[in-house]
Amino acid sequence: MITKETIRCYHCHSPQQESMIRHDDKDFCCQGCITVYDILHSRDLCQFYDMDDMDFLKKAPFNISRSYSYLDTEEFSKRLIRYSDQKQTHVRFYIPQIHCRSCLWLLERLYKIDSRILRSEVLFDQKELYVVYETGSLLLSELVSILASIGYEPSINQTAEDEKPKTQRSEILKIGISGFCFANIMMLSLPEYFSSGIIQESIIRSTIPVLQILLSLPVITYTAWDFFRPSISNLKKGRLIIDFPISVAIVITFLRSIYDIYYGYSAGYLDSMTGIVFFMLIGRWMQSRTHQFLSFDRKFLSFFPVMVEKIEDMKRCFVSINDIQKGDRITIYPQEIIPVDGILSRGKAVIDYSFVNGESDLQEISIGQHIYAGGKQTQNTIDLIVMNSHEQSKMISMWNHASFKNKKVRNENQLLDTAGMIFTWIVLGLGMGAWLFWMSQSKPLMAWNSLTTILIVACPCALLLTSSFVYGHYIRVLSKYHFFLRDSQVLNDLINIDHIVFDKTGTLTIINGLLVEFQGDQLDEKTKQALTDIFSHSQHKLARAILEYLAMPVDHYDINMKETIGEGLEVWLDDQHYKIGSDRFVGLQSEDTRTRVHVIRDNRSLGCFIIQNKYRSGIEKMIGTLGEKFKLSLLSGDHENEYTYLSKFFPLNASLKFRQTPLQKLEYIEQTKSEKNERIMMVGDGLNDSGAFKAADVGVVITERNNNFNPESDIILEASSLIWLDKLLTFVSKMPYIVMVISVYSLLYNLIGLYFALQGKLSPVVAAILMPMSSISIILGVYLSVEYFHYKIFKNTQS
Amino acid sequence: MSVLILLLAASLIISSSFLIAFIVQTKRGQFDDMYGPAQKILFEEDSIKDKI
Repeated sequence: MITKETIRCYHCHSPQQESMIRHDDKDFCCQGCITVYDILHSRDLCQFYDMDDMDFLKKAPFNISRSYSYLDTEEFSKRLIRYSDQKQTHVRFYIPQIHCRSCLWLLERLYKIDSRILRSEVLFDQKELYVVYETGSLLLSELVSILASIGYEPSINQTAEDEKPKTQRSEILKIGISGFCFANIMMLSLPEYFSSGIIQESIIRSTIPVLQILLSLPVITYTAWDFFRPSISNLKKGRLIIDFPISVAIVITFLRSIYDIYYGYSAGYLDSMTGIVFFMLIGRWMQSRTHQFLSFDRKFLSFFPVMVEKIEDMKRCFVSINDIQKGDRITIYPQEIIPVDGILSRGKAVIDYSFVNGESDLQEISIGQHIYAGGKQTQNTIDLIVMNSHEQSKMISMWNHASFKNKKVRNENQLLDTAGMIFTWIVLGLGMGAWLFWMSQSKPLMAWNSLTTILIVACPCALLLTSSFVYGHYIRVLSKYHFFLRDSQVLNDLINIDHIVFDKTGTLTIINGLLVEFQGDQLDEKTKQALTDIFSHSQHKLARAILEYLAMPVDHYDINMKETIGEGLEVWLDDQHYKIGSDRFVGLQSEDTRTRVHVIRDNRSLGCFIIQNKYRSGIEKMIGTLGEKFKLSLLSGDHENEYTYLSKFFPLNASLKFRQTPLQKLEYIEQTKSEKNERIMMVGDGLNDSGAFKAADVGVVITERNNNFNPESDIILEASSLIWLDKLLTFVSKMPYIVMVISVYSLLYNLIGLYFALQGKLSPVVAAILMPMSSISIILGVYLSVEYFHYKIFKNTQS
Repeated sequence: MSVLILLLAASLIISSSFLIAFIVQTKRGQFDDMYGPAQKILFEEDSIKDKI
């Protein structure tokens, strides 16, 4: 549990996980943060640290030393430069790391870091940075290096969607216009209210209704179409969504008002109609706004390496994907995605095509065989001869393949739509019943009267309003705890979860900064280099920890490695044979239960790396709490040596399974789903279990100082927030109660109001105020309920 | 009381001009960034030795 005494890195605010480095009288978590701090300090930009309170967890900067020289080429410059003349050049970058005030502050003061930059402006919502610099004095590559050095490396291959501003503008326009019409229609009703319903002047009496009708036209013809359009398109597909009864209500209100005004029966209900549209549009907008921070960018291109290493006449150079031609030879490194179709020419290809066809089985390709674009090379480095240039590649069509796109058929707001459907049938039933009754009594006027009144009054607008605002607030609160949902439908899925499956390494345990020690002969530099090269090709999580321990730069090598996932690897390097892996893999017996990675060279043991499994603090308590409400399972690719420790805090009926391959994890989930009909949430880091993620109802990916996330996931959770999973789920479980209570309240409110109104006991002014009051009270009620639960559940934590 | 018509007309003309200004500015992108401008106002002034 994070307490007040927890030390946080001065720069990135991540809570203390391992030993902190002391620098300039402050604590930092890594060298990267220190580097950025030094830069800011030397340029007098320390105000950066005063901007936000400690609540906001900033992302730690990456230690990237990459060459950006490819940006100086014509092609890339063209993409980034927006304007250029003798004096100034304007560039626009997409920087996904922009997320808070400090980012905004710092990025607008780039001129302090390098005086060749004239000015810079942040477009916060789009996460874009616009930089103006002196033409000729600064290279693009230098500019990007500067940005990277302070932790804001731009994402070159990904641009912010250009459509986003347009849709947002249209939403804002609609809200503005309907608000204008609503307010003016209400204002025009004032003369009628204050003359007790009878206006003497015939001129005024005839103009006002006309004006009201004119004012309601923009609403019915333009702004309300946000409800009409989905109703119609869903109706064509044979589905009824909540927008349908709402649209019916809006249209009926409008027509009935015109009818009433024309025949002089009443002043119409145009203020109600426009008011409803206005408030519901606000609710919808608020709901979509909370997602703007998140960019679950599933653009296929962003998973591709932008530059590919091409081999030309024995020399290696970097080339943009678009420039790859048929016949070129390119190199693909482990964990990189194949950008174009090709034929394997060198190396051992073991490809994961799960992005392409959803299969988690790895495919081994031999030399001379075809490799398709979109696959991920899992181990070793390979060379390909390109068969199709990037444009002709089939990967885009594969991406749209059904198996990847939709693991479950999802409706937006499924819960709401079902409620809406039931509601519609009930209302239609009542309306038809009343109509038939009055017709049978030969009173057609009453018949139409009651039908239209019922359709107007029984509008489930409150339901929609409530749920939009509830979703919106929930997503906002959850994001505060670094629990990022893909969309509001995920909230519905979360409520129904019965069973939680955990991955071990990297999820319950920390990966970065693990304690590693080497037991054995002293390693010389050459061996260390060899081991670094070997481990850099491994896909095991422990390899990353060892690499961090060895702390040597990687020398790219054509290594012929055979890795047994979860066990070890065998490799020939410099005429020496290495066998590296677990006790069992290298054939040693041991009583030692710690995680060990042995290194055997030429049948002689060099020693072993001992890696401490460091569990996240507070995890035991959280698992305990979760175990009270959910069924739990652990699926780990590791050994059983942790079983004793884990069984101490996992509940008795939990299944703890070890040495699980990705396929076994997938099978476990599918089996549990079909046999026990349980809804499953999978928590892992998504690297080796994307199949399992797809199978689970909700997939939660843990991120820790990296941007690797699985496109199959539904929720991203920052590692430091994992210990609050129990509280987060409790919080989510309150949501249906809030919606129900507020909806019932709204129904009662309307019924009581209707009762008094029909008896004529409500003066028109009061009635006119009560209607918007109901919407406002709903909005307020939702906000207060959500905040109440937020406070109650999270009050002992400090984020 | 028919002066009310005149008042109505005047009021509608003025409020419509606000509406038109709102529409035009939205289309020009004033409201694209909701967060940035709000925060920029609250930043402290930079010291004098900065660039103008």
